[in-house]
Amino acid sequence: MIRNPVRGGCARLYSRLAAACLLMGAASPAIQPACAKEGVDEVRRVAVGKRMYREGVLPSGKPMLARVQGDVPLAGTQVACVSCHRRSGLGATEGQTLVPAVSSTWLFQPREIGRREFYAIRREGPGTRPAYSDQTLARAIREGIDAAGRQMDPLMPRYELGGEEVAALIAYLKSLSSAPDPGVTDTDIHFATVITEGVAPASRKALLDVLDAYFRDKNADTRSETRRAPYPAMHKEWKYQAYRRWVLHLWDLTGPAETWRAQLDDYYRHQPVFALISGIGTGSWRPVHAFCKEVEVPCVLPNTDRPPVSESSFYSIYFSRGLVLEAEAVASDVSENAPSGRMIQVYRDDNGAVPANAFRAALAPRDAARLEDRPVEPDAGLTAAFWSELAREPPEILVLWLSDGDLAGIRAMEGAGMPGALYLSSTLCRDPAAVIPKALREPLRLAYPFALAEDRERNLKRVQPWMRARGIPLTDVRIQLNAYYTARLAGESLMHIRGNFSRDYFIERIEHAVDRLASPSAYPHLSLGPDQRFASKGSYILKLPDEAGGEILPPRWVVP
Amino acid sequence: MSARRPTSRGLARTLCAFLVMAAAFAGPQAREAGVGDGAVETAHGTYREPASHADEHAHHRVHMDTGHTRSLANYDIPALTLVDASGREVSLAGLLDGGKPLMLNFIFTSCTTICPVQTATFSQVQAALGELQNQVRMVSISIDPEQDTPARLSAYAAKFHAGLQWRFLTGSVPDILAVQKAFDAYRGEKASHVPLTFLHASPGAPWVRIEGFISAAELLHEYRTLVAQR
Repeated sequence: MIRNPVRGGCARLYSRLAAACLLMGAASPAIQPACAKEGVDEVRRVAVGKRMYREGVLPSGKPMLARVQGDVPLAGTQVACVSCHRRSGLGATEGQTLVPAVSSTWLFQPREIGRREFYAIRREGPGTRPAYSDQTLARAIREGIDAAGRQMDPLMPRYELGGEEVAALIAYLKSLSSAPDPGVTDTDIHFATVITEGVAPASRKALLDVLDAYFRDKNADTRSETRRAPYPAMHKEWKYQAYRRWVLHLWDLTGPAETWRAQLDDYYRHQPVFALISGIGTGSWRPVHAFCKEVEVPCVLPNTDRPPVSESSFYSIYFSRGLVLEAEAVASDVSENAPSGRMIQVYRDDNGAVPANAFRAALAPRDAARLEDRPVEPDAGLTAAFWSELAREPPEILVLWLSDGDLAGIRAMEGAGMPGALYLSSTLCRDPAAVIPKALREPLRLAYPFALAEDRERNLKRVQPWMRARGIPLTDVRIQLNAYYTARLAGESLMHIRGNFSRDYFIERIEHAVDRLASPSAYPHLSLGPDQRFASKGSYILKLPDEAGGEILPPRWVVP
Repeated sequence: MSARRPTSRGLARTLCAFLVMAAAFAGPQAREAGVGDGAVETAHGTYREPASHADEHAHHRVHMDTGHTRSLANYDIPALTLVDASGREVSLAGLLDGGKPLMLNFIFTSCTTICPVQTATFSQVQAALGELQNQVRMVSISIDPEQDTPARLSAYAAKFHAGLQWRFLTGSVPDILAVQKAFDAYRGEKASHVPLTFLHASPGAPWVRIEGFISAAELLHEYRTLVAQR
């Protein structure tokens, strides 16, 4: 059982070494240079080891080489330690394969069976080993012989490493654990939820109602355990040391997006949190994404239509790729029908430009060459003249990255020329049945990445009793289902990390928990895996019925 | 309250020690689950090490025990259309009954522990076969079909130097589920999957089902035995 596990890394070690050197330097200036050199060497060694662990790259820049299963050679990222032992170093399970933890608190302590306080400790035989020393650990890494002298699992690679190389790797393993991550005290675990400028008060209330109730429940359910945590029965220390009171902080981001980063830093300085969970953003989520990446704080399933899809980060997990996903699904549907005529896309501001660019990029070059862009000027309205002009020479494909307000004038196209296919985003246009006249329903195709009406009703039946019992009105189905899902996912994953308050481990458990969690969200189905960061991978392409209300079946599920 | 605690803890300690000693005398069957032989405690739980399987291939093993079971089985291949790494549609039955001996496994590209080893094993068998690789068909089917798009499969195949005889397949979620069930390979969510390798000599012949990890040398031996029996 790990007491104070987890993460560290070069920066933290460096600051500690630097602090030690400063203290010593203040006491005796004569030893400062030697200490500084030693410190720098150690920092360099840990950095080298970190690269070996995370990327499978040797100090020489060549890939690490190893054999598994006795005779299967692997190289580079395939044998990077991180693949199996994961970034946290706390191990994983896959099927019946168990990957043990390799953080320093595990390696350099003996593995014993039984409980010391029962005077029933077994130090020999299966499942036990003495603590590793640098020598036995080097032997384990190179020859696959554990501290007890036994052959390790054939899946553990036997690495071809020189003395310096293995020393660097061991130096990194020693740094891969120390204290719990920030945001966790002896009694509390802190979370924040981010709500950005421009979010409607009703959406905000819908989200906070659910999160507040979940936190209240969580703390009520575990109040006895939390109270007993400092004085557990001796054989239940492992269980009780994990209990913390959950505290939710609301991080409102106001004003222009350029100022959000400073606001996030301020909030974090004032109260570090273990993770950001749920939240709502109206525009780009990039500032929050960048903050989480740099500060290494998990950001779990915010409600955003614009996650920065091309800027990968270990720390941010999203429901889907949002508008980019819709654009790619539309492109896939368009290509399926092999159009030969004109294509036009109309869009306004960044919420329109992001899918417009993604749509162009996803088309085959010969189709993209026939695509005309019609950006709408920031303050310009879409007049009847605009729509009539479109109808005069209707394109084969018309894609409108526009919101309900902008689409109000589309009735002007009624009775005039119709496009072969008219595509809309259900994220930007929330109520297409209200704005699209019946005459335009025939060519209409809707990119719809959410659960269909029938599934949604079924999902609601599972969440609504919980909400009703807590007096929460159902005001925004997507946000409230998603908030409930996210809170449950955080709870489930925290339960699995027990007392190992490692943010990396938390993320790794989420990667597993999503596929197991029997709780509905606004999406048809969610799935993650190691390093996957978008849980819902596809979008429906729907038609609307001639009479308003409900979707026409069969919808097409497109995974671009 | 606090003054009494040490006393009650001490009492409890003595009592527990007594109970445990009694349990120890009662024999191993009385031990608490997860604390006995073969249990390993990790950061996220206590796991029992899988029991070692009956081993009929001990004579092949030169260096280490890779622990797998071998059985023969007949499977009804569902009439499905999957998609290969180049995005082309492929009839599963047509591909599997192509007349050539066949090796098949289930993988997903973001899998960290089991699949890279299984794929590397195929890759090594391919290399060991040399020019003879054209006489075998190798198939890897993704069990994470929505994540494993043809583009991702193609990159994964390249990483393992897959030749033309080695096809990577994906498909819709229901179709992939049906294939896994057809081969009795479905174990719930993908993180619960187990290493499985299937060999097939020719249409109508029974499948060799290998459960657990198999080394490249052992797989090659299986393949050669199968071909020799054709």
